[in-house]
Amino acid sequence: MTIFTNFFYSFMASLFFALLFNAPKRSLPVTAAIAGIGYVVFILITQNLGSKPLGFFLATLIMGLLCEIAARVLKMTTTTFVTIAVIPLVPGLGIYRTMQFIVQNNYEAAVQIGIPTLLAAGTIALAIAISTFAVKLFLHFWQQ
Amino acid sequence: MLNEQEINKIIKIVKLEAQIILENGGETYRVEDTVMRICRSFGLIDVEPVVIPTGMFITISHDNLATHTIIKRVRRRTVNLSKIDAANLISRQLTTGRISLDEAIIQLEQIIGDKSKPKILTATASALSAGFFTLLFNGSLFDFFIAALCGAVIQLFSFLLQGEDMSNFIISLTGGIFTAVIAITATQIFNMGNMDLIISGAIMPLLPGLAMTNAIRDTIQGDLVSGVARGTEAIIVAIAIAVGVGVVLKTLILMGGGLN
Repeated sequence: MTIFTNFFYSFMASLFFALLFNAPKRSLPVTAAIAGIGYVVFILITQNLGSKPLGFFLATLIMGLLCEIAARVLKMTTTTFVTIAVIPLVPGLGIYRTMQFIVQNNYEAAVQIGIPTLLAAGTIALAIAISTFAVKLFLHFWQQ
Repeated sequence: MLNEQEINKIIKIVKLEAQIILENGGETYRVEDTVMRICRSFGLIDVEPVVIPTGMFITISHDNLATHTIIKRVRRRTVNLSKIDAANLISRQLTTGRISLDEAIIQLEQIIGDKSKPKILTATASALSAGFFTLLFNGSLFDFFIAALCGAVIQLFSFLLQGEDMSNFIISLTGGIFTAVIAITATQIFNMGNMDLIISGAIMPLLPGLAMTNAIRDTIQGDLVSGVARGTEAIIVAIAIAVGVGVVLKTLILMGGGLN
């Protein structure tokens, strides 16, 4: 897949995901665009540096920062953006594969896939938290 | 100086705001923050909000007046970002003095009463979201349509369970089952498509992304009770989905079918 198709698919997937959670209309294009950009960043880092955890971390961090900016520019809550935008990165395939190996009684493979999946989920959540507090810290010192 | 009547109105507003944000997927610290902000803007400095995902305790004291305490149990929790946004807008307008207390109460009650979530639109959104996730995982056009079918079926089924206490868990479990059954049946009948990609794409909209993110945000913020509660919710939902899919896959293996 090219960069553009990656961007397009994650844009569309997040757009409809946002509609599913009844996100405000005004936020839709912005959230979807952030989701697309983040996913492309993830693909680029994974392909060029060969590290998935780093990809998850940096891509989510960038998305988190973009969401914080979008929330302040559009005067909406950060939750509106961030919960939708990170969805393409959530390791659905990993969760499925883990289960697939468990039902095949192949526990070794299940652990091999399961642990990185769990770590990916943790990394995403942590990167969002870090971006939130980085912005808070920045604003705190900026205002002084 | 505030009189008793105004205090009562403020308390009502605070209660409605907190209820809307908490019921529709907002973080607990956001609820506490909103409560403090509204109260402070009216000169009520002595406010202690304690909010957990299943309820809230708010005490408001004021010189010369009685201390008021609100305890509210929140049972129904869904995700509706529009309502959080609307409640947020009202609190912004209220604290900057652009709307009166009475106007705020009327608007907040409208938000709570608003049950309209267009069903066809939601089902379509669920379907297309699942479909595009499958494409994102490198699925074919056939996979796209089958995943979209799964997404639509899950959403239509969840309408049936709306308002039930256990709905969150049951929807995740049955969502996993439906997805796996449809994906396996379709790939077997048409003898094409990739079952793995269909299933993993279709379960994406079900995964507890919001709960997981909120859990970490709450924990780091210092809201340990909420963090643990949300974290448990996320884990249970994820396990429910995985078990739903797993049961069907295991049945397939026991019936003699193989997994590719």
